[in-house]
Amino acid sequence: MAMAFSALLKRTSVINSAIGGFQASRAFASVAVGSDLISASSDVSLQRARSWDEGVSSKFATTPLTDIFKGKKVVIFGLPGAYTGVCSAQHVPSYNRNIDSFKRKGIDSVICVAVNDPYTINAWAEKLQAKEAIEFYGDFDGSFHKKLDLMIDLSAALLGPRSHRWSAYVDDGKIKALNIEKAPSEFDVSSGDVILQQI
Amino acid sequence: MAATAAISVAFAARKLLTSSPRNLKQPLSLFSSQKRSSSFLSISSAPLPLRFSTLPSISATISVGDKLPDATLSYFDSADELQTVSVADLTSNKKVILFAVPGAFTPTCSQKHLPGFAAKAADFKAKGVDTIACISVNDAFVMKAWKKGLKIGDDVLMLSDGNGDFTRAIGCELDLSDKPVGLGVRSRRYAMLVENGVVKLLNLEEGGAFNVSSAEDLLKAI
Repeated sequence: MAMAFSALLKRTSVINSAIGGFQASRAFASVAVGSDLISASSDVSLQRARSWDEGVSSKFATTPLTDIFKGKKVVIFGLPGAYTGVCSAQHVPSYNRNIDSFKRKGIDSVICVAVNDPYTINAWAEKLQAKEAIEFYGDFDGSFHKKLDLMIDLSAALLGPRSHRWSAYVDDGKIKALNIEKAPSEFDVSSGDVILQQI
Repeated sequence: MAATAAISVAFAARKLLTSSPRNLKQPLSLFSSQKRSSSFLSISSAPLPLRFSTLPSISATISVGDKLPDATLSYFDSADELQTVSVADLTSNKKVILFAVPGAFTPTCSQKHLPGFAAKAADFKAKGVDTIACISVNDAFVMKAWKKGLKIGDDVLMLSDGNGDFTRAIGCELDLSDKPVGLGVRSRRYAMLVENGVVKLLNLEEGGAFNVSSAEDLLKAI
């Protein structure tokens, strides 16, 4: 019994395609183009990526969404998990290398968010050398993604509740473009290259 | 309850393995595509609902003399392959040191607890310990990256209790959900000596304190 399970997990691609099958008719988030992101997820905060010491000195402060989005042109993308394959190897780099193009188009900040604690996200961002270009935030309890209905249960892959892979262009809190992958293992519509064309 | 979940998982696993790849890509009518809750794996022919991370079990805290409940843990092996291991396989007919940390990339865990056990690995082996394992409610990717960042060798097996099932089954949850630190539900810090699946020694901390669960403390006691 344990062997069948471990055989399954050895082929994470099987899981990914399985999850893809379940989500083939991926519907919608609770937000869409035109929604106001701030009012859809009011009283939600994110935790800026930080080391523990930085957390202590800031008294573990969190960042309300208004601070991130109000009056700003923001490109934001979410992914299932720090240190995982597609997230590390493709998703983050697709934004990291396009940062100058984003700035040229008037984007104020590029944000990456995942259901991880802020310390893990911080270590990961530093490892990817992406902290200068991208602001990383943790949604440790998934409250942000839950409000947007962008959560997916990856317990079968022993990852627990996570977020879908998605991206959005948000102007003063209003969603101008929204891309959600059909399955978290896929990487098509949520890349930095795609959203650059949508701005 | 962990056993039921394991059986349910295996059932689903067998179903997924025996389905042809073509089927996996189609939205199967067996699976409700509307519900995106954790029951998305429930199959109409199976009476068992699959809700791993939301098992409402209330387990008594483990104590000396108890047999460890079974659960599935995951890790990356030295060939960088994702593996799973059951607690039963990990501990049967072996002398195992199992110590838990609240979180990878947090200070006490990173600076004292884990390095302490890595440094004393040889001493533990000399006392007949077969395996030293670190367990945390983090996923296996994070455990691997954390181990690499701290340059921990292969003397300590980094185990992920990704859904917190094992931690819950032994009643050692540390609920930090309402704290601004941003950690959610984790494991209390502990160190235990397990012989053939039975707890012989248990040094369990309150929350994340670091008073009795260090490598030195355990080495003195075994």
